[in-house]
Amino acid sequence: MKGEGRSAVQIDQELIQRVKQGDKKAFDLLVLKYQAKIIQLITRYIKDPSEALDVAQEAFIKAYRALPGFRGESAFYTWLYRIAINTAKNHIAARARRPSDEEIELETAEQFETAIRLKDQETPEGILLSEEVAEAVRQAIEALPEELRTAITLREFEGLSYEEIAEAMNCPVGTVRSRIFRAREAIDRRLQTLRAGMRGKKAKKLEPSAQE
Amino acid sequence: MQDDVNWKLSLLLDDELEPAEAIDLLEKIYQDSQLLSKWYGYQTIRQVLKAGGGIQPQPEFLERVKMALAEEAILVPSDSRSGRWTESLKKFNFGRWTMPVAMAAVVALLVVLVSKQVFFNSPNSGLQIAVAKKPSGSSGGTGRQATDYSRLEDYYFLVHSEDSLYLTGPQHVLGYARIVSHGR
Repeated sequence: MKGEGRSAVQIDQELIQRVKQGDKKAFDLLVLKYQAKIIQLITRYIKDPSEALDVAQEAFIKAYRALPGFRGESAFYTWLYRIAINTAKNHIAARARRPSDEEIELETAEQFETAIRLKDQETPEGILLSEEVAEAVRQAIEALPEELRTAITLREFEGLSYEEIAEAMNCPVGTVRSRIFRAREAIDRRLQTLRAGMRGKKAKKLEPSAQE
Repeated sequence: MQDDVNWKLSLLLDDELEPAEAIDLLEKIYQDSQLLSKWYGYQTIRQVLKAGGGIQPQPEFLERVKMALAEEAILVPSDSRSGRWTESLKKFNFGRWTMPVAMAAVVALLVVLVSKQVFFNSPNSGLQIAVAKKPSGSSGGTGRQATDYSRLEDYYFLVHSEDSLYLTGPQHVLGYARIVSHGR
């Protein structure tokens, strides 16, 4: 086990080295690691969820292209963060220069229908965290035993390190690790139940149309 | 066993794993859809607690980036020769040499400018050409009297005054040298 931060830098350095040697999959691992943070950062600038995802994707591709020039003088995340912010700002500037939706005429009905279909696929419900999910997480936290709730709250709300939590809760760091893990597991179990229910509902909705 | 992996997943989310172990786990997540789902589940919890909502962390985004990345060229290690060149450039102590080199360049420039100035301002600038070496048997007159054009092919002496000559190369391209004789 390692201290927070130092470990992240070493992991990134190792993966970056691999990417620079031609291993594209290593970049996928970086995406896997940072996608949530980057998407969340971009949504501060771009409210539309599908646009935000496009910009996040663009930011990652820009980062990949620029990686040979990354010398490791700053942490990878800081560097990626800058690229993401610049990409978001450029996107906003480009959007401001584009004509408004009213000015764009859809040439044919077919085009119009295609646009509608695309819009349907990218509804906020499909991309955004639903209120049901957020509520399930809140309820799961409420239901946690106090020591687990305190540990996960200090970690996620306050951003404290394991050592700091251990000090605050007057327990060994190992106990903090265990409490945070158990809290996450309990919340995730509730989320899985919720998702299974949602999938069932969706399937029921689709059934009649499939029969038609 | 699964609990052990999930335990590590929780540590990975908090950057609490050893780098080698973390990379190993990231590779497992990448290949195992169940682990991937668990990873996004933990990310979702974090996002709800931190931001209260937003875009759902989901594997579709990773797929999108992978597809876009497939269009990109594979990065290759930079050429070792250019790497060595960059390295030696880095090792070269520019700070140490910049000042003396700049000073030398300035002095050289000044010498050229001043000499040009002197030459063009001289009363006989470039108008009269004489050979420095007195031809044997001359009557001992001035340089001007001892004019001998036979060596013009080699180089020119330009008469500045009775006692000094400027040596210049063909077409005045080369630098100048002043030859001064005293007590003549």
